[in-house]
Amino acid sequence: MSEEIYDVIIIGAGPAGLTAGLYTSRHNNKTLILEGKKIGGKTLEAHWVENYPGFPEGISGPDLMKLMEKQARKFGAEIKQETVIGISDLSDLKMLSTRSGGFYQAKSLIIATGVSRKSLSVKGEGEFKGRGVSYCGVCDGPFFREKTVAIVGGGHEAVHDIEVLGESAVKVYGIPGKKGYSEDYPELEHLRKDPKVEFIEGTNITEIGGEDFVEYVKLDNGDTVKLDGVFIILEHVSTAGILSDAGVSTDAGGCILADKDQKTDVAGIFAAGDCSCKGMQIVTATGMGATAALNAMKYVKQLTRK
Amino acid sequence: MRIELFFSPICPYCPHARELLKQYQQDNPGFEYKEVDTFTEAGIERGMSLQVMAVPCLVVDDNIKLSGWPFTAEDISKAIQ
Repeated sequence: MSEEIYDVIIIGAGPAGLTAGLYTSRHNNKTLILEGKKIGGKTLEAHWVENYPGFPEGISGPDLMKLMEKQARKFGAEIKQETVIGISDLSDLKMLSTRSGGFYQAKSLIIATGVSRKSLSVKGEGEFKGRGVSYCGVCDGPFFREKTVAIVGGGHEAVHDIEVLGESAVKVYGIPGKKGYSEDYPELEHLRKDPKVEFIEGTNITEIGGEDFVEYVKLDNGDTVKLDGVFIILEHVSTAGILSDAGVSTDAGGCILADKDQKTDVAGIFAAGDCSCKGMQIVTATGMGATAALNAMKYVKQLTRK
Repeated sequence: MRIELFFSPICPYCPHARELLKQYQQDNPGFEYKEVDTFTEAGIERGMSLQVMAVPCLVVDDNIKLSGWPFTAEDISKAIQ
């Protein structure tokens, strides 16, 4: 076990985590970033990013993340590729254990673990990819003009896509699954009054079917719904389990609850980026990373003064 | 042979597909190639007439070959041959 005590440990090396690391290390806070998968996060999947300020011609996701990594390391942030499997909150000290047997201690933690896309994993999903099954409402929505579609998922992005598809489709079903919507999102109020939108709640899809293209979905309540498209908008905060051990609250969808200063309900633990299910953009993630870092440093400074 | 690539300006996999197709065109000249922006009225109408439902989408002589997931150069070669 390392006796070293970091000022800040950041879990996750995507845009939020690397920005947080840049800020804390630049202010001489001893910083460790732990990343269980690839450094760069979900942005690595973006072949071309055209809406990140400062790159008027655009930049590839991997190149952008290499630059962010370089900038964080330049100021002294350590980055280790280890998966965190446990967090303990001992008031002024946070203890972390990793799958490879590592133990780390920090005065403050920033959770920036992102989200991963999930498939629905039902019969027909793979067969009808690109033929009625889609994973991006904004990208593929225009093809479903005057058609009937379902938006599957209970997170904010799924709710947003109901609004997007509602502009072109003739009918939109919102199917959040048995767990329902993660929150009482404000958009749901007007969507529930929209005659084009119908919510099918308390049931899960068991099958997507049709001949050459999607024609129906089957539900586990025995119903069959005729439609032309199924948008699967499922996100998953994979760290929800270990966070609950440390007393960090999440919503029903596993999104970490953080206030405007990116503080969670545990003193000294902050959350930034997609794992708090806000924004879902690279630029909002970096903004949250910077806010979390500034408040984490303030917290560490107050601890030192005790 | 007429090849069309349907793309949207915001789809994360589309820029890479466009680059691969441009490279394929350079390496294999002699076919008609057109990029179709599905965020235009003409583009979406053309796409819907061919039953395109997801981007990026590669269409060869009015037949959908690849649709809705990240292409590789190998996928494109196989789809066009």
